[in-house]
Amino acid sequence: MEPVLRMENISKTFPGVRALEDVNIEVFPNEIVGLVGENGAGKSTLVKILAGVYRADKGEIFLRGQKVGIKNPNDARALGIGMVFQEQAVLPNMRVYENLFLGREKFFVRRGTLDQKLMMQEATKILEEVGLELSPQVYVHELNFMERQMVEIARNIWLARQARVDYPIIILDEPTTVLEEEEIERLFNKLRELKKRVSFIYISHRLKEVVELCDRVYVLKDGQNAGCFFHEEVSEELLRSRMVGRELHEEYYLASKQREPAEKVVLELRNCTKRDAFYDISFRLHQGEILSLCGTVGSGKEELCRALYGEVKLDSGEIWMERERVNINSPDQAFALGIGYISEDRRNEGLILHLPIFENITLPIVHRLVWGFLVKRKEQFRLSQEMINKLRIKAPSPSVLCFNLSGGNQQKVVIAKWLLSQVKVLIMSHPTRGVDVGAKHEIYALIREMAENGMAMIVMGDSFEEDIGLANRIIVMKDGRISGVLDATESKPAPSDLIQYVV
Amino acid sequence: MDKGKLLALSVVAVLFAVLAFSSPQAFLSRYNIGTLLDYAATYFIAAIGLTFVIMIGSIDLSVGGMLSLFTVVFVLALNYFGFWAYFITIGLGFLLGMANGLVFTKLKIPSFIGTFGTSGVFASLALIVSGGRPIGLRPQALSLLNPLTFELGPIKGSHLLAFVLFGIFFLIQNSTPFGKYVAAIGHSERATLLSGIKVDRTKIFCFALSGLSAALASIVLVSRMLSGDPTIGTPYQLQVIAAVVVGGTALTGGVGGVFNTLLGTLIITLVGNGLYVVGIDVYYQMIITGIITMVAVILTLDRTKIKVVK
Repeated sequence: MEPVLRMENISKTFPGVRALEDVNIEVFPNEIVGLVGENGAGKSTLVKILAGVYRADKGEIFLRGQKVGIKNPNDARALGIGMVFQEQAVLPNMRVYENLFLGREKFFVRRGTLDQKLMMQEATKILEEVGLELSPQVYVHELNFMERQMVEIARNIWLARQARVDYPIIILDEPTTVLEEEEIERLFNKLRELKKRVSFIYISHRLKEVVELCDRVYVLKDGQNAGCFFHEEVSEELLRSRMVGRELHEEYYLASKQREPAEKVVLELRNCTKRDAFYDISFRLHQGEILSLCGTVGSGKEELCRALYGEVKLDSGEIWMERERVNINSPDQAFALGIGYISEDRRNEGLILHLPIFENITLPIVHRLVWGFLVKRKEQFRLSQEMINKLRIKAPSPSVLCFNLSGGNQQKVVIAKWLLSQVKVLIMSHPTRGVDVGAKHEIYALIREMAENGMAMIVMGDSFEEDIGLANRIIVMKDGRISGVLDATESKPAPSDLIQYVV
Repeated sequence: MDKGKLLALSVVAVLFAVLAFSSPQAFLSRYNIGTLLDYAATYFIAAIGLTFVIMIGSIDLSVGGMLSLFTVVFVLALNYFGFWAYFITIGLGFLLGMANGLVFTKLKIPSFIGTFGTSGVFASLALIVSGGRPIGLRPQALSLLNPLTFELGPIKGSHLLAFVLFGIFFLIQNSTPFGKYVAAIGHSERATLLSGIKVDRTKIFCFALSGLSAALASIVLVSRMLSGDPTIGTPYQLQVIAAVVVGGTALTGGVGGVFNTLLGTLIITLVGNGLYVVGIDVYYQMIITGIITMVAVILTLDRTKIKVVK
């Protein structure tokens, strides 16, 4: 059988990061093809090239045997390639049929006005086809996430048909992240039904679902092909080992440099509760300790960290720092107490992209670098240059805009900022997200070094492996409560030990 | 100097050259240059504080209302309290600006609406305090305006004041922690907040500076008119915002600064003055003003750093 899609030797480099190197994939008719890999393995880059968001530096794309050039999302759409994004692209304040035909209203114009009746007819037809039993009149905000996803899929199928493609390819990017167990099952049934007419590329971190659903699974690792398995032979363990591509030897996280934390308690939580987020949380954080917070989305760990940084107000409970009870009502109060926070959204919350490195690094302490009223620019430069050398940030000078740095170097700037302001407690939400493997390793080394110098850290890692590898101690949260505490200083627990507390 | 500022500067130079060549007698006359500087100084002083407000992505629509109120207050204070009038007016400007900032940050009312509201309050207060009529200066108070009215050739005290203020605010913008916070908030308020910066306090101070500069501009206005006029501010409001924006400070925040505002002021005043000097029909003047304003923004605004133009 001939593949619907063949991507050959696709390569793509971003400034400082090689995202893809000679990647090949094929998609056949009636197939759901899985695409898995760690963060930064190149999955999204690959599908974004297919969807016309990025352009490959090298490589060719064949659709139904014909070589095609996809320069922008419109080209992709005209070729019957659609993408359903993780962040859903439907507009909740509009009705289902309006969403279905958004941007394609021209098709329904009769005598200069929109023919609503025709739109409704067409909408009913396409909804029926994807097996969605709801009125096209309903507002999208009334739908659950699974239904919204189906609306997007329906929209993509309809668009493909308009482009006279009867065998569309639809990319699903982490479609189940926000779905309940039951909805996931319903979505899968619909997808199995639909694959008679559509080929799917399915990206997910949830290996269990990939194994269950996909006919074939591609593994990417560090921007390269790392295996392709049929439904019959695939298993979670197999995928995991291919994704990591190495025995998870502890040295990856520099466990040999791990230190026993000091006796001194720097931060203590006593029975902290925030309704609808977390309940009755108590723990102690010691000087030089790395504490991992594990749990699914909705376990309350994110809110807990935000409460420690003054962005969420506690309903009850006490926070103590070095034997003093403290109130934390805003990020500046948290900072004044010696707490720093690294957001997972580096580009919007971590740093100010359009300001130079030295302004970013010295921002929290710039009020201390003054002579009278005036900031000592030389001092700003000197301290920043010190940090650039120490953290090996790849930048020609401190006055380079952060915008021009790679993800890994941007993250180092964020860490440098907190290192320079000498915080005692650093909360890190996904510190290695979107960072390539080399930079990841350097960030782990930095975290170890900071711990050795006495900084206490709370980490929410990108994977269980990362959490286990880095931490002295792991606290697992489930439904807003602490469901387990594991020691990881003496010996490292296995991910399977953790999972029982997570779900 | 970046591209935007260079372009704004060339716009100023071109405008000046065109006017100087087309009607040298009228345009380059000592009287006209004096008028030009008078207007530029007033606009610039009023716009300099507003620049900070716009830099953080907010707006202050009460500058006009404050101008009306403060000219009245200043004249009354000169008549009754003498030299203290300067301190009273400037202090009041700072306080009312701060009130704007508090309405914005603490009541969480968008600055567009909040300052639109206070603008009405200030304009009404001006009418109430003055009884709706311009208030004249007592002759014995005239000498108190000497610091602004003394002349050195075509340059007056008020022009020097504008120049000194430019220097001070330029330093504030580039070399104080506050100035750094303003730029940071303008680019990314979230990232600034999460860096432990007191964002609200910074915003309030921006509005306070806008009030302060409106007060200073009122003082300069009074030194020219020798009276306080409770309706003078209204036509100034949009001109002052235009001076900031034409110079290349983005309404979305982060990009621009007081040097841009200086250039923007010069563009606005040169265009306004030039059309009269060259003798263009009043009916056509607004067409040309509009077009030049748009062209200036096309040239000066550095769009590479702005995601969305609103």
